[in-house]
Amino acid sequence: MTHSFFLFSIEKLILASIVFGITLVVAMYSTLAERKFAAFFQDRLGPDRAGPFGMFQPLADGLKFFFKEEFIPAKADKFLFILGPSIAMVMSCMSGAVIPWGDRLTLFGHSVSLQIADINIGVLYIFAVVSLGVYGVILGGWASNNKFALLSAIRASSQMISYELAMGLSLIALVMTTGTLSLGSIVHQQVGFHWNVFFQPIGFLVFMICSFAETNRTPFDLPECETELVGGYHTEYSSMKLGFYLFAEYINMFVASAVMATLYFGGYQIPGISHLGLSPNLVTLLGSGFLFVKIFGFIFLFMWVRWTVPRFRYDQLMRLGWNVLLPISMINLIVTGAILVLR
Amino acid sequence: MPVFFGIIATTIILSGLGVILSKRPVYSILSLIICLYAMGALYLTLHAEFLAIVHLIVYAGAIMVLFLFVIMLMNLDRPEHLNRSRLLQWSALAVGISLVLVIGSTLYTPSGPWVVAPMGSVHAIGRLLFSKFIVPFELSAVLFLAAIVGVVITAKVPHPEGDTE
Repeated sequence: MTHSFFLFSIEKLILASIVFGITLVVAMYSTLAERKFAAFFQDRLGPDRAGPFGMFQPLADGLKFFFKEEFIPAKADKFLFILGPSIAMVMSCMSGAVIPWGDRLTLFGHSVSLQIADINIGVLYIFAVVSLGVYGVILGGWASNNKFALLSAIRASSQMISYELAMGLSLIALVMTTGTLSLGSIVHQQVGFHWNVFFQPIGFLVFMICSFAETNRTPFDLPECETELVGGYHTEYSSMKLGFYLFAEYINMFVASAVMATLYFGGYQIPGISHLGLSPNLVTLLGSGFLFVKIFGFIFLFMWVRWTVPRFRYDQLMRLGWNVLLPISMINLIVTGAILVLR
Repeated sequence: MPVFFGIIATTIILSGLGVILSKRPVYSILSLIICLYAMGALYLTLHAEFLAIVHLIVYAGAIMVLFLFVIMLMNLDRPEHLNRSRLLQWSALAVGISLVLVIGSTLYTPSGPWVVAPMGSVHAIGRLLFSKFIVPFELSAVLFLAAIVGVVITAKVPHPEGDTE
């Protein structure tokens, strides 16, 4: 019992470290990708000095953040000032625990699931982590003792809370069609081309718009709207604490893409691969690769929208959330329920 | 398992003390959030995953954010704003003791509050809510709706010109 428990813990620990490492690397290179895409959309070259094609630019940026002066405002609440970015970082990394990164892998006679925790309420877990991510922003903004930071923190939290509603309702419609809250089972159901996006197109659209809002990306990046709020909730932050806030945004983007790919686009399932007769391990690895292709597609979408669409005004943002997305997702919910009952 | 319970119980007690002993309201709220987290962990050890997560979403994720909002917007985070009258302190003590008595008395009931089966799962709670407790469940939904409408009505300031933009 204790021996197997020990082995189990080691296995999960290794898996968690790998997922954590991949998350950080992807987020790191998303920053470079963002700048490259921005340059492409604006007909520039983008960062190309550090290494070939600017490959070492994220490392240089990270080093720069570490060596910058650490500044904490005199009137700031020191403990909460440090706690804010820490919470933002931790909460953005936590969602990765329930996402199925791949099917089972057989190593040394051991069958290892590439999902850290297949809890039977995985969908709700993600929702809980998202709703707790608000604290990082609120505490950081309030502890800075700066009116722009506070205003921005209030904006950010009311925006996140408003869009969580529509997001939750579109998720409920998805859960009604799948009949389970476990992310592992949701992926298992989407074999072949039974992707949930075909059954829940409106739900997916609402979910995607809401995840843009939840990650504070353009066109919903009002919390850090420079023209009105200086630098937003991280106005007073410098050095690596600012780096944490900026980095958490990229991790959130990665996780949101992974969630969308898992819930609506079949996760690691490759349509028709079972007919090729490949070994199970190879299928698993290819599947994980395919999942990452989907994730990168979504990350590209995030960046594409950011450099194409201008920012909303705050009242427009609230109207979209409450008067458009919420009714649409409610109607979607009712229609889904009616179809399920009549079928 | 006793190790986990020990850690969780210690966290709950320490953070609970933090709620009442902190000089500043914001730290009280943070302690309360930690306390709610630990309670969610306690539910997890009882195999009530659904309850644990909903507990976190509703209390730690929504209601505590509201508390923080009020403290921050009203600028209440100064110790001198706290109402520390004798009457309040004594009544809080009385309420606390009676709460402990009520919860403690369940320990001595013959059937016991012990969890015999995993009843905190989505299926178990869903079945209970839509069979045995369907009427209270639907009634509480109506109650919530009434509360929402009431808030909208009271919060709506009538415009003198009549237009809302």
